Amino acid sequence: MTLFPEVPDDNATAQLIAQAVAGEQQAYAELYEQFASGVYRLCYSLLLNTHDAEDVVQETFVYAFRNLARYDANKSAFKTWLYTIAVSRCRNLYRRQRMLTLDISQLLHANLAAPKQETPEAVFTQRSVQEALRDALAKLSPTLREAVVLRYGHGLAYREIAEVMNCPQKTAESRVRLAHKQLHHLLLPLGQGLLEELLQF
Amino acid sequence: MNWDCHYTRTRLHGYLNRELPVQERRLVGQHLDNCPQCQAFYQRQRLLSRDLERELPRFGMPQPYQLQQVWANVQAQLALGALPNSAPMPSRWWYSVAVVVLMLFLALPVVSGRSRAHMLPPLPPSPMLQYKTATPTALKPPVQVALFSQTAAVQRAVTSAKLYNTPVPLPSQP
Repeated sequence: MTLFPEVPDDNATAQLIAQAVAGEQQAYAELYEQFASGVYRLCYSLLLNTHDAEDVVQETFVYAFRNLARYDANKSAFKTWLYTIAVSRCRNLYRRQRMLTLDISQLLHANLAAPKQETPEAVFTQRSVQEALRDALAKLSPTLREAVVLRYGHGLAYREIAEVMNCPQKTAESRVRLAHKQLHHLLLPLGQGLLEELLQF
Repeated sequence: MNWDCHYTRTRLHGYLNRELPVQERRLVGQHLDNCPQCQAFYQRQRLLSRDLERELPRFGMPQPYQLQQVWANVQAQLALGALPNSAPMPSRWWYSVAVVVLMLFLALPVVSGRSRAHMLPPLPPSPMLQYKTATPTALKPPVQVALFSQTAAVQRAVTSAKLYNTPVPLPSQP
């Protein structure tokens, strides 16, 4: 199973879906292989927890495969459809876990918190880039996190983000803009410009 | 920060993503060329966008064993529940038709002008008319019962019984 599968074109995906609906078990495996990594990254970016992400990926594919015959390629791309299912399940999980009020970064990295006397640069160098990003994402609201992850993490167009998030396109745009602004404020104090620091790694 | 700076900064995200209309893009670009503060702000934003585009796709990358484990669970769950079948799922129209047929069946007696009561066997003779005497009394007034199956004399009594204030002369016994 490859982590970076080749991005299938729409025709290849449509063919795989048709084969799966026709009962070919191998087609299910291929669809999973093509899209599982992306769905997992999305879920992990939103939930910031490995076990929850795995559970949601599992739920997403079970639901999608059971309802594959209902998928309409004219309405949305298969990836968008899968992401819509995944985001919906992630939202259910936030609600259950009250993630809105939890500071996940404190839970996950309590032992990594640096003494206050250390400079921001020193703090930043002690953390990996991924951890810094995780902390910043954890401080965003779930809605803004969804928007920025879909935009920058998965390269979705605003129209697709709006579809996945079930909101107007203008709302999706403003959410991405707001998330970008908040990340700017969250990440810059970690160093003198995130990119300069990141490029050193 | 003057009005031009405000105008530029509120549109900077769109400018970065090349989503502004031509006219607005030109105005923002001109301001950035002339305002060092906004230019510095723009560079930081651009840096962050580039960084997010580079880092977020790698964020949360799963290990192969994780995906394999999830796939095993997906397969197990599909095997336990309704397997994705080759045939498309039965469409919902069949259920709608069944409901309509059931409703029609239930409504048939009403539509045809016959209620279910008409289909029952005839009841045994029962008192068809009751009347009370006009005499006011504290006691419970006697109730006299007339049956349709009685003689013509009784039939007259029944007819006159419709006038509540008129005492009904009972037929004399033979």
